[in-house]
Amino acid sequence: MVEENKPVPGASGGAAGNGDAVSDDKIQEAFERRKRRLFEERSGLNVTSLMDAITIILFFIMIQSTTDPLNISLNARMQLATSTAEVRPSDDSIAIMITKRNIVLDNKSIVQINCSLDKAECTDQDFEQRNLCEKKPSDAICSKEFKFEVDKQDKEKGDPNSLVIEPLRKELDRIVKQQIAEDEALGRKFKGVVTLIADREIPFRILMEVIYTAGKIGVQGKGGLSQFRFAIMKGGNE
Amino acid sequence: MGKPSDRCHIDSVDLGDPDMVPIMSILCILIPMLIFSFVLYEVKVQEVALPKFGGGGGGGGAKLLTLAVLVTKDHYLIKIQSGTDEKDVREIVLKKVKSRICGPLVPCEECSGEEFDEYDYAGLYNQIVKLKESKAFAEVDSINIGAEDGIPWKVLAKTIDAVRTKLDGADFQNLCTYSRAKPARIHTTDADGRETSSSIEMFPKIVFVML
Repeated sequence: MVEENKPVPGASGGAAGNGDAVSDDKIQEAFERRKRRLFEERSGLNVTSLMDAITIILFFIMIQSTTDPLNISLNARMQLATSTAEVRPSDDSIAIMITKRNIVLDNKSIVQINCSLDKAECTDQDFEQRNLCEKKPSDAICSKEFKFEVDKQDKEKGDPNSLVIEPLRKELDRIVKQQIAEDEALGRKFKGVVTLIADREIPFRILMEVIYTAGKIGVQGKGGLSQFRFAIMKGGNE
Repeated sequence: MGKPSDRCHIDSVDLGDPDMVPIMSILCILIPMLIFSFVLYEVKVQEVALPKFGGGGGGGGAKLLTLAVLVTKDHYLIKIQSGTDEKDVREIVLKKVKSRICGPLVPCEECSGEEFDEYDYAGLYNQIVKLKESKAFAEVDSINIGAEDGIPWKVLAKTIDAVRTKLDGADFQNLCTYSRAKPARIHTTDADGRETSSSIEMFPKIVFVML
């Protein structure tokens, strides 16, 4: 293609004579420039389409990450249980996160959970190994019992058998009152929905303590926490 | 001096391509960061009713019909109460069963993965289906689930699945066939004429009870 456009020196249109030497040089230079530009156009990366693709990916990811009402990040201390449930989480619920280490409310650790394994304190490495039990159930750690409990000093009147977790009750009370006031200002009805984001290893006892504590929260005549939902990871029956 | 139009050399003013390097650099940092925080799993919620603590009122002598699944360390205990008297309570025990890990493409009969003890979710489901199909529980929509203190949430979540959702197929012989069964669906048309499908729930109201 380029070869076809090559000019013939001295044959620059109707111009002829001695001055043609300068003119030929200019033509040659222009030709070289054009050749170079053509080469660049053909071999260069087309950034525009790449930018388009990247922008679409960026927007897609950003929308996806901002529309998740629970925004759960999974790690060794927080692994969701799998279930076939199909109900979508609502964004107007109060989320209580129960990890292997603590109970979290509004991204703030409220209560610590003690964990022991063979009379020793659990480590994050133990949790990581335990999390693999679904794939490797014959591992030694899978048959061991992790003992999770809330310290008795965090229980009502320091009674270890109490179902009320005092720091959680106080914090929930504050949040519920605040939410009721907000809902009233906006003319909405307080729904009293709690979403429990519990790690899959958390024992029934702690779940009951959290539900029982939350069930006690409410404002006379304005409702309280009455609907409980557990966050799960969508999966099969396996 | 030629015409003004000849003197105007717009073509020769080369602004060049915009420098994409800093923008691309930002994007190259942003995209991996967002992908890292990207949720690759779907989060749903499972509804439960407020737990029952202690014994309730008598109910004015009305016939009591309750179904409870209790989870212990090594078995399930299904309690069927069809009256107010203790004699009216029937119990079914489902011990843990040997199960094998099975890859998704391996037929259930050819499963050769590691063997481990697992709660009999398939057996529980089979029993609950039978009860739901019986006349006594056809109209009942709630089931009580209780557990020993140390039973982990993952077991309860699967137990709730086994008692709540009806599956395609019946009488599952092992965990593999049960786990591969899809939920039975019912197709309905709403007021706007749109078709919607939802899973069939046997006992939609799950109530936690303390043992």
